[in-house]
Amino acid sequence: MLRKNTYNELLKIATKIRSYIGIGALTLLILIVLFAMKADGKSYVGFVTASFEQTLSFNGKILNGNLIAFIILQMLIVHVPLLIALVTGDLISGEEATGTVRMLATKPISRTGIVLSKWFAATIYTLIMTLWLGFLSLFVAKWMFGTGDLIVLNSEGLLVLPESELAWRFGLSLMIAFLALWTVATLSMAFSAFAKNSVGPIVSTMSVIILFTIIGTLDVSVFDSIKPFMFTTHMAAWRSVFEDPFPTSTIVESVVVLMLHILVLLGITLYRFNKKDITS
Amino acid sequence: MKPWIFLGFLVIVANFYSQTADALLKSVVNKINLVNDYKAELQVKASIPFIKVPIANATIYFKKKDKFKVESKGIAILPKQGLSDLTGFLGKTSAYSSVLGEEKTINDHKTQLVSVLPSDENSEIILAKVYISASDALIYRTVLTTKNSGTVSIDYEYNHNKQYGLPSKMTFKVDIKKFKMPKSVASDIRNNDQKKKYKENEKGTIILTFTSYTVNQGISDDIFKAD
Amino acid sequence: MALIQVLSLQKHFGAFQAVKDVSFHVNQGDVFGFLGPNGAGKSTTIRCLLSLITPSGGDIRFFGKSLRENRSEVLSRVGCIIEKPDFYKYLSAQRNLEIFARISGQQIPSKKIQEMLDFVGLTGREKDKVAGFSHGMKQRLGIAQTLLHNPDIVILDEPTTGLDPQGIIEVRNLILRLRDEQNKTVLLSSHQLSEIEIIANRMVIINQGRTVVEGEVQGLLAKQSLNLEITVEDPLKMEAVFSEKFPELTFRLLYPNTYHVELHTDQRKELIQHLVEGGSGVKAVIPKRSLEDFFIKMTEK
Repeated sequence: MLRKNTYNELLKIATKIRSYIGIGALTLLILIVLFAMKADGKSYVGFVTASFEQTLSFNGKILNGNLIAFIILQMLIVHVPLLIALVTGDLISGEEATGTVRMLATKPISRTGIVLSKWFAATIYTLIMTLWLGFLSLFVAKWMFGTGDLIVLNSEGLLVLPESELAWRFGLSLMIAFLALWTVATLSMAFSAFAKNSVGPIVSTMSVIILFTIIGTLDVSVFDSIKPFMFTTHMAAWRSVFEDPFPTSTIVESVVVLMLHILVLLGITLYRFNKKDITS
Repeated sequence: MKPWIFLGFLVIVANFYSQTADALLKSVVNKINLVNDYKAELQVKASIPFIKVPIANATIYFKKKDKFKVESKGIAILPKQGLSDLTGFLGKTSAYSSVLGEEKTINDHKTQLVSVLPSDENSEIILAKVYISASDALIYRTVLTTKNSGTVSIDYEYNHNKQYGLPSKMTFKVDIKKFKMPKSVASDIRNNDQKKKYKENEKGTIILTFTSYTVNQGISDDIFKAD
Repeated sequence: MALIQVLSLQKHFGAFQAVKDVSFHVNQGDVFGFLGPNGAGKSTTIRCLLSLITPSGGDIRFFGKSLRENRSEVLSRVGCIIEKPDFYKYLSAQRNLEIFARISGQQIPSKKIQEMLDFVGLTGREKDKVAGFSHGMKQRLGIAQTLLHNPDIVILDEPTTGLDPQGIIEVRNLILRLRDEQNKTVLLSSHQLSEIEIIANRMVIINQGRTVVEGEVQGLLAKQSLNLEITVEDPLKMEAVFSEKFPELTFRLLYPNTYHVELHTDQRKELIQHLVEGGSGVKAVIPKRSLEDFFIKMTEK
């Protein structure tokens, strides 16, 4: 019954307009970035290499599809969580708001089964969004801008990654990005289990992300002990994939923290929904 | 009377040395002028603070007088000064004055320092110290002092194309100014504890290895058109 | 055999005790009326029956098995409508039924879904989005959803709310068909006492979270007094019959030639016989809604 209800949930997601708002917004944002880069990408690249251009000359195809893909991921990874929460924050509370939770909860499927099937559907939706993000940012960008080495600017300076290494790096970064977005989806579902409409969970999810992100960027020692445990600290782990030497322990730590968050949040959702008296 | 004799003697000596410096430079320029065009495979190995870049392979094209192009599949970091501009600079003999300096042995080669001062105040190169081997009319070291790029030191090695003055290896040492991270570009919210500390007077090294020279075989102008 | 047993059910929401002690049982084949004034705990009790709410105490058994321990098995044999049925408005009627069919615990072919839609009179509306349905159509779709998996027990909580008289009659006839043709057991909660009186054979009345009375509808009503509205041609002769034969009864004038009298059910036949023989010219004898009176009496204590 879990499989059948997961199919039901996917059907519901697929037939709701809000599901396509996220995909449409993502597509539009990426197309805008691609257009902007096509129009004036060279200035952007110049901005990145400005510190070195008095003594050094950068040759080769710096502005290529791989760089564009990296830029897109960097720009959008903060915004895509909202688009995910727009759908996943509605999964449980939306049923309360419309009253269909009564119909659902009087069926032979257990409360745990209901939550898990919604969570599986949310996972699949998040995966589709991630893959779409990857497809547009990698394949479409490469089609428009060609391919080449990737130049990355981080706090330690410039890093040039050869093209031969980029396939697995981008693949791994998308996997970690998916993990980060999966955490956001699970968080919004957890809020959804406490709410009776979908606005609350969506706003709460974004508020938490913004608050934790701000705490993460504050260079204040009082927050140093909690930062490693905040999921927003590890949402940027996808970027670590583009470092040399490859920071295996950092990435493993982020994966573990994100997975733990997912499990804990799912546990909270299951507990809440199982204990809930449905009085609406 | 004696001061005038001494002054006269100095002028003669200076003139002699100037002529010798000019002669040395001319011997180098004559060799360079034997090359109408060349193409070579280039390997770029850069070791620069705040930059991590793998070894890059490129193709370098040159055509008289000043057409120059580097084509690399990947990203290659090259020095801004001293690669394509030096030969053109030395070729314009009327645009500078030269003074002979001390002898120096560089990599087992006896060389004579020739200091080259550009006449043009607006020239990017303020001073070029060129160490030339008189026996084979080859440059083994150049130290360029520039307006905006600091000091660039270049060591040369030669192999099969000595007769053209085309090096097999050039080792550049460039000044690296303090690296400034554009804040809006890298949204790296992870506070890395291991931030590198900038040291004053840091130098970066770029080693260019030239192989498979093709000299005076003709190169189309189309190659030098901008992409 | 009791298909549903509710034993000393309790439910509190924080400090508020919504259900204090409710017990009743529903036998196979019953159309069981579940009655109580507003705030009596009816909805809470029904939601406990359907595992929407977790009881604070007591036990609920279906088919002799504990609901708590056999939830999936039990609910696969129960169909229900809680207040107004809600559906996924952005989906069609057919799609909605398909969704619920998949989690009904049974393999339900698409042919069956079409049959159900035909049964409730929604033929031709399968592909229409529920958002465009009227209240009556949604109610019918709700009934289709309830019966889709051929449940043994049907629980209906206020199924006629918001329906017009035609709709109320349709629901009543449907319930009777369920009982008579399909041998289903129906638990029906309703404020339409006239409907309960017509179609229910057993009932329970609860008030302030407790069971007040439970039993056969007619048996309970028979124990109570009967109210009659009598219209006669000759009121004077009618008065003479009352004073001679039924001095203990009182009557009062409602409108010209029409009187109200309260009497024991057993006295009804005799009274009418004497009125006719006494020349009163009996034109009409109308019993008043006795369940209504019974209900009010039970719940005003």
